[in-house]
Amino acid sequence: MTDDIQDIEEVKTADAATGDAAEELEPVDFTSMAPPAPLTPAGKKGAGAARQAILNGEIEILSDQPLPRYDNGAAKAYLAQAMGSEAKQQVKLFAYVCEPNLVPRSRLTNKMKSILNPSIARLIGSGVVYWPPAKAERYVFIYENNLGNPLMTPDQRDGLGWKQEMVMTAVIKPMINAFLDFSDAGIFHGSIRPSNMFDGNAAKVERIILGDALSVPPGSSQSMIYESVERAMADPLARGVGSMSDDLYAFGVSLTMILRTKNPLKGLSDDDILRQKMELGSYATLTGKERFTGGILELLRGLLYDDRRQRWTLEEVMLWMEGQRLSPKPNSQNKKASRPIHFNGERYFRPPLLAMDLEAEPAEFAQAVDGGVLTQWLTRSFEDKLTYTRYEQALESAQELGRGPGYWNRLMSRVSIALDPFAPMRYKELSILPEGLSYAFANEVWSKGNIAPYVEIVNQQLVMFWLNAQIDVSVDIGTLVSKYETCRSFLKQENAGYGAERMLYYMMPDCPCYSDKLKAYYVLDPETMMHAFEEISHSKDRPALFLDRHIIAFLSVKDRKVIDNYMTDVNSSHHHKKVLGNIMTLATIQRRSKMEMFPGLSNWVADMLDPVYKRFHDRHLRVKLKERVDKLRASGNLTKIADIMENNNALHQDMLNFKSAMEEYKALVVERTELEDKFESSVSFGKEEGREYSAIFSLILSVIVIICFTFLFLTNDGEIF
Amino acid sequence: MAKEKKTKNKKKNGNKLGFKGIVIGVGSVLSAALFLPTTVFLFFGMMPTMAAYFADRKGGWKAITIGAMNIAGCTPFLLHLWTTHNTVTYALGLITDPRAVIVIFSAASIGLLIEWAMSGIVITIMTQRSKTRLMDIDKRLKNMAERWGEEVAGKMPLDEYGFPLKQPTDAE
Repeated sequence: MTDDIQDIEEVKTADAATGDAAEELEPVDFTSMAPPAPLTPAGKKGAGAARQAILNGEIEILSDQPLPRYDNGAAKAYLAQAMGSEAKQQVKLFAYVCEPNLVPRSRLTNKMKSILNPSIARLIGSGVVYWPPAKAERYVFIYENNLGNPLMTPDQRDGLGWKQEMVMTAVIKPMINAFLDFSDAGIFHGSIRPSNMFDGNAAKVERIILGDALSVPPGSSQSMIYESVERAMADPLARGVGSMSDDLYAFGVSLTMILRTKNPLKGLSDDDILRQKMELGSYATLTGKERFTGGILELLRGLLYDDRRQRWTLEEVMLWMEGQRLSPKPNSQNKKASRPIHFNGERYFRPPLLAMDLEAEPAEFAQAVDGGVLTQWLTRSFEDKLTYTRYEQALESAQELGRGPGYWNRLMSRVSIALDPFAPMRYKELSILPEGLSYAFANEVWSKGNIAPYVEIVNQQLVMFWLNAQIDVSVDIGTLVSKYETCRSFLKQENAGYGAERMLYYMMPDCPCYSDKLKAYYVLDPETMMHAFEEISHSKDRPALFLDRHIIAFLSVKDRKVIDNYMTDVNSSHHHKKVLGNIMTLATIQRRSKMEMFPGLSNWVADMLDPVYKRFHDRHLRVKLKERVDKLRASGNLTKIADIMENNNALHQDMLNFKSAMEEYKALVVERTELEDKFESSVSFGKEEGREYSAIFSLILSVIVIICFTFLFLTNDGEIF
Repeated sequence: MAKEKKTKNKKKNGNKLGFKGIVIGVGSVLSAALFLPTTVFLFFGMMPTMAAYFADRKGGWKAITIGAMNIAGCTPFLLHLWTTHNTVTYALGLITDPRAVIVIFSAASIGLLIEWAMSGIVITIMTQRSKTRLMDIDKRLKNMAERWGEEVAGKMPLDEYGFPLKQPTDAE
């Protein structure tokens, strides 16, 4: 075994050397590939030419050249080639094209790229490309194409029958090496299986290469046989991120598959295999009558412990490599009742198996609970205080929300947890581990399925009940509690920006925006959203508004400062406020991220503003505003347009002016009525005034005449006539 | 009620002459007696004015118009009376002189003519001015409705922001 350690050191040295060689080979610096670049139309859309799948202008993915042997579940592999210099073109590449409903683990790209290990497929980069077959954008991972062939096909269950020495050299040592790197980087692989292990094109396998881990949700592409019992019971998408222990288990199963010569499980369904694992234990199930000898037996037993607390850790595997003997531990999970309980026509001795089948017969389950049969079996036959306590807690907890509609579903899920706390949460035909809920939920949201059970799981605090039942301290209870409590608070609010959409993006930072408006795009941040809208702005069927519930929630999670100030507006029942909120949000993204101009968007915005203009009473002001906005229509400057429209003082002043105009209008109408009344009611309109003027005129004339008479009288010696 | 009280007070005041009224009345009688020839002449000379006063009960503006010209017609004969024989007999002779009668009554007629002509002119001007004002008002109302919308008239129910609860169908 000491030699083995030396061998590992050698492998490490060789790795470093290979790494160096790789560095030398690279004037081609793919490792410094930039993060997903903005999806500018240039380069993505050839005028009149078919769009190609080109990542960051550097790597072309050949959509007509699939590589099915590399497929990782739903993530299909395609040949890729570097563009540019000849040196770059010499590097063989292939790509995984991810499906948007199966959220890839894009945030691990940098960590995975930083691992330089010849036993791990070398990740070159990742990003978003336009994918011609789907006529939509997809997230891709680019790997160096040096994998060769997989050790097994995905559906192959027969053993390879490799010799132990060969397995030790070609599989165990490189894999332990890889595990050390994963452990350092804090990465859970989740796709460890012979069909994802490659021979590196060698005639005789000297060192396997472990394939992709990031293109699908963790564990979703794994056949249940490679998953530990509790993960195997979960829906594939709902397994979530596991631990190193789960990867070691998958490694143990893979080793068994590589070593064994026959398939002892031939003809058994996945469900049968799972039940057999629960009854007999994984090791016995997977090896059957096959007998392994020597050190490898200990390793397999150690890795295939069903109780994760007993399962070998990486350190223990290292100790085994050093030649230390580790004593086998008892399997505490196999506790059996003295007498069976009859349910669904079967006899159950083990609570986990019963828990798994409860949903098959809800009526019988109700009878078993109400009739006290289950209580009796747990207290008298199974005699485990801890399990009974959990069962009592389940009854209490389910009754907290009353015995109304949904009670039996609540109770069944809780009793299931009480009977088997390691198993996933089972609720309305879902089987979900807390870490995996987000992936399954994302898939359901994308496919517009029934999300109600997911929402109910969170609202009814089923996760809390599951966490309380855990005995395994390795589960990060604090983080999960906080995460699900936050989700519950989101679900309590129905406004856009909260609810199920907010929960989705909060739980799943890797998830692209699932808005129907952005269905053809893979939007991971507000900036790429702006570019997507710029492209949409040129289409004829562009939507009336930018933001919907998904986008609002997405933005609120990604950068709350760009949307939270306008949350009231975008949630308003007034259309003009919604329009303003939409525009202000986009303008804020443009300003905050110091983005370039968006002429298509500004043109679109200018077309959207009619309802906002109409909120000004003054039609003249409307025209002026429209003229000002129209001048900026082609500028691409959303910030300036937003500044014009956001002037709250102008709106207030307009309101005051309108009120004063109403008063003036009223006064004029009164004046008009009075004038008309005068015309109609008085025949002698103006006669009185005429008489007044006549009297004044007459008086003045009289005075003049009298003065004249007097003057004449005095100057003519008393004679006038 | 307040109006009734006011009219009652006025009636009371009308029935009872105040001190001032008594002084003026007594002064007038004394003056009439003192300047009897003039009083006699004016009594007959100002007959048209008196007739106009009693005929027109709407504020007495007609009486003022005619009276002003009437007194102007009397002026030369009064001056003559005062500077020659200021006696009642001479005054009566003067007033019965056809020339004086023609002059005095012609002057009063001119007053009547002034009243008729000026009223006509003023009525025409005022009617025209009012019509122009009505047109201005209509134009202004139309402009306001164009600028602020039909809702400015306040004839339709408005929301809290001053917009019609039901949007008008015409293009805004």
